[in-house]
Amino acid sequence: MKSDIKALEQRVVSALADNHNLEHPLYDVLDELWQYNQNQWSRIEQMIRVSDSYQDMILQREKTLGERFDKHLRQLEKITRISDRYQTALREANLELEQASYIDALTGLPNRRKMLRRLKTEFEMRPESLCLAMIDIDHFKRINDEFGHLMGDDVLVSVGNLIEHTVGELGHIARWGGEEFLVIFSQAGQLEVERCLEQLAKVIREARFDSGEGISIRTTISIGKSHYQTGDTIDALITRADNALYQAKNSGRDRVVFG
Amino acid sequence: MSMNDLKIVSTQSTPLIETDSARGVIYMEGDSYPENSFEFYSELVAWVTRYLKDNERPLVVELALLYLNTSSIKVMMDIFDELEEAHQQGREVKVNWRYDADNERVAELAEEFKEDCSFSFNIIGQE
Repeated sequence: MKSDIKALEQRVVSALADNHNLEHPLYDVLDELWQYNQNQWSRIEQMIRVSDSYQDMILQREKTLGERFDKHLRQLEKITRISDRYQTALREANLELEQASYIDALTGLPNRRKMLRRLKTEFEMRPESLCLAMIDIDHFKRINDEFGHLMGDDVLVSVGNLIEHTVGELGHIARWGGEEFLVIFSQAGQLEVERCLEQLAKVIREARFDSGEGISIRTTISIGKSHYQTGDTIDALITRADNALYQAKNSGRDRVVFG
Repeated sequence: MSMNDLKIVSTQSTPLIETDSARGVIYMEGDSYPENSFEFYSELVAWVTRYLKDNERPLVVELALLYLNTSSIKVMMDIFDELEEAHQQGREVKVNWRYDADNERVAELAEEFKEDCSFSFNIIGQE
């Protein structure tokens, strides 16, 4: 079919080129039809070119969009991963800080904040069996003055360790303030607590702390104990232990006063 | 050479940012959790684009970043992507990410950023 068209076109071109046909009555109309046919062809070719370039453009655009989409997807995944890790790191750091905020840096014992939390919990669970012992190192200032603050700190740490060791499973100790410790007994009997505190005073009284210069330092502690009474608050319980400690100090130190 | 260099002081939530177009260095240090990271970093992003466009000289990014919020991570990745593109076209680019050797976590996070970068990306622990 295509070759037929080629042949037909050839015949038309030859016929129009032949001067003998110029006078033929159909010459003009054939010539016009031929021109029209050529225009149509060139228009079709142009349309194909435009259409091709549109297709190219769309393909290109789709490729670019696809690349951008992939890039964003990859970025999103990575951002999420990094962000998650930052959150995990922050959470761990938070937990560490929280732990640290409950520990006394010098003695490594629970601090006042931790003790207050424990007191609150114990008070809510079983207040009736609560006992407190407020413990203060006697004449601690003298140790600091005589042997220096570093030695004073050492004595403080050692006394803390001895209290913790002597109290053992019976109670929980915290560093309450400067040279003050607070012990909470939540499930021990009164007698057991009193015996433990007497023993504690004895242990410190008999302890020798090496000053590092061949001199051993001796010290004593005063203890004020309180136990839960009907209608008590945590503050009242602490205040009575404080008052008992005050009495122990005032009546000569190195003793336990049961408030 | 007549580029405007940046000198942004650090705050509690934004890092210090300094640029030196003469030496081809960007310096960033601190935490980054601005309320609007894209706005906060727009000047830096513009500076990087202009520096890479205006000349052929190397670019070194000195980082001592700690905490980055999510949008800051996105901005840093965009900047690294731009560096990567420049590197692919033959530019000499380098990132030095310094961290406190006590804080291994920062190094792990820097590793994540490094993953897609083929240019020189050094993660340097410091005592």
